Amino acid sequence: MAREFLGGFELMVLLALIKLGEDAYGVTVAQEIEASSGRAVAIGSLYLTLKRLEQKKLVTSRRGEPTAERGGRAKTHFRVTGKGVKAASHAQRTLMTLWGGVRQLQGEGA
Amino acid sequence: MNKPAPRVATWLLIRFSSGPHGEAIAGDLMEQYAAHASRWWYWRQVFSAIRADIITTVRDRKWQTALAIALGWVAYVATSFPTTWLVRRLRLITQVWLSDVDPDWFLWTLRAESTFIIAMVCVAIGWGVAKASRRSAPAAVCFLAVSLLIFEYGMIAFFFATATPARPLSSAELVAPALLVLSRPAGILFGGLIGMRPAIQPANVETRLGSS
Repeated sequence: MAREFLGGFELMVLLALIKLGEDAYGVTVAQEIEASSGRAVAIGSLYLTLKRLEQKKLVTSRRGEPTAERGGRAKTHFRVTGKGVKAASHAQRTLMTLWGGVRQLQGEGA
Repeated sequence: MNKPAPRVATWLLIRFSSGPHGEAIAGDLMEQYAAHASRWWYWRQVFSAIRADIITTVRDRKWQTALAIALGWVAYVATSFPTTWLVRRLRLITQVWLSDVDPDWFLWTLRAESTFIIAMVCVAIGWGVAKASRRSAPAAVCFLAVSLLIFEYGMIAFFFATATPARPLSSAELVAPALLVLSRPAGILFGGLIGMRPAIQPANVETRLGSS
């Protein structure tokens, strides 16, 4: 089966989910990406990406309990699947290989 | 006590939400709003979430959405003839009632009357499309309203480009059709909002009471 490429935001979301582990839900994922990228994340766009990752079977979700500070609305917790971890690892290898071949960017990250 | 989120924005979000994560989105926004965010931030996030929901619906249920929009257009075209007939009949009755009033006021009364009747028909069409299209209702209703607005503005532009009026039109006569025609997409949206069955269930009342 052909491996699908991950989009830039999809990869960010996947990495945030791996980092957060069990605590991952919409607000924490958005905060994690905002802290790393310095850019505001729209919750609607985040869930659009999470749904796409779920459809690709890279992520699973489960419904939590409703809480008072959320107006009685339940959280949805997300977790990366084994396929998701492999996809993130593959994306990292691909990017590292590409990075290594670009002379103009050598040493910029240091 | 929690800072209550803007009610109208939350109502719109719940109405327009059709995806499986609608409740989580509403809860996440409320949590962030209570923690630090402004009303402006909340409204922006709500519109962004609605836009994302519509994009997902169009992508996942293309044919269902297209069919619902087509159904709306068929209903609009099919009801235009009886509506025109009704408007003309009422115009005759109104003419008799208002025979000795100022002609300008009389003309505006007729315009308001026909605008109201057509807007009510659009409300019914929006409601019907929302009921028929179920989970793709938000996308179908929004696209139907936008396509209707583009069509009607196209008709107005065509009229002004081709018609040769007997006397120069006043600015009110030029602007009025463009404003009055907004009642049609607004009617579709309003009817759609009434007819939509939101995917989000009502919040747990006990949990909500526990917050105060």
